[in-house]
Amino acid sequence: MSAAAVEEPMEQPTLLEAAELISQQLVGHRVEIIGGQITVTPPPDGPHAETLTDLMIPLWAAGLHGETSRLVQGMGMWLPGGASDYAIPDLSLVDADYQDHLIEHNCYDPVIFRLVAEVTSSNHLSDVKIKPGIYAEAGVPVYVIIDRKNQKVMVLTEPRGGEYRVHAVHHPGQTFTLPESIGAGVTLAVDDLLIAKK
Amino acid sequence: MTIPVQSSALFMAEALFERFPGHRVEVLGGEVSVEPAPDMRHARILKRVVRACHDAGLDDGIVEVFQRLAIRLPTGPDDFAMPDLSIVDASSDDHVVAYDCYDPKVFRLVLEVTSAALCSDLTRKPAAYALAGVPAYVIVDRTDRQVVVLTEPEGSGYRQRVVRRPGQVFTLPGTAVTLDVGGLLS
Repeated sequence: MSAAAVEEPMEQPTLLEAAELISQQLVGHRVEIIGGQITVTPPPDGPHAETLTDLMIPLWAAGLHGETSRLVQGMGMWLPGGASDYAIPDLSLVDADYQDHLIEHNCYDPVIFRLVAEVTSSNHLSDVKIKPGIYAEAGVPVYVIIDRKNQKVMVLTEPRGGEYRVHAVHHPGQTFTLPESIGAGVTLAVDDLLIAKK
Repeated sequence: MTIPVQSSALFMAEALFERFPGHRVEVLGGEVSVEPAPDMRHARILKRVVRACHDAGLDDGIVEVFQRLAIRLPTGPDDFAMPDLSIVDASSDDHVVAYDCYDPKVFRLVLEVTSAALCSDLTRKPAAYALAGVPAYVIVDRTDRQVVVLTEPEGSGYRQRVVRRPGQVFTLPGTAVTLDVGGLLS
């Protein structure tokens, strides 16, 4: 243990304060609180960011970054069921009046989220196994997982009772259409999201 | 706390451990997890389990009972967990594989007392402990007021899952230690 750590006051920070401290120190890392535990994810690689752009382009072209909804990256979602739980999806489609729904710690009410998307990285397990339960519990209507490891895109819909009732899996070569509930009909090609990255 | 941006998960974990003494720091699935120090109710449940183990003479022979002994996990290059309680082969002192983390093969049982719904004890660890080959994983679930006993690890899951609720008892697998669920959670 370093000398600096010993000299600091012994007062314990709250979980949110601790998360804030970690965020300040670990620039570029994603810090979330899930199940009362702070979770720190290392910065993603370039292709991760590129895939997010590839997903944003058709959503933007469909007019979803407009007067009624906005496309945002890294926006915090305050989660129900925990004292200070929050998650930060890679990409979110939110109601345009989201600023009226700020709750705490720069996080917003889950009701404004029409769609969330995650692009898997080293934290593959989290996006595929943990986040579905969290986003379903929060009532997010559509959760898109771009699974780089297994080369597939999953679209989870109909959240009920803490889980998504419908799991649609799309493979390279296929196209799929997102639910109209997001505000527009958007058809995506799996190859545009997965194959271009090498 | 100064941490290089390009640090490994393990390095981050070490720095966070120094910055937040008393917190439980783990690396699960490549993500660093930080949990506040447990409250007294959490500690009391653990105390009851430890006392039952000692009363049964569990600590006197071929196994030892530990709290927060780090176990190396195969779910990622830096992955490790600090189970609340573990039953380990006696005299396993030499089985450190890296950074004070012990080889999962010396663990006969791990037990976690949950702190919140959706915590990693319930979400990530069943798969991680199964993949590590830990023969039994016991979850004292305070939120749902039940004890889940998982045995027979196979791949990323346990084949046997038994749930015990207040009014029922359960036995720590591989031992003669029997505990009353209601008494444990009270």
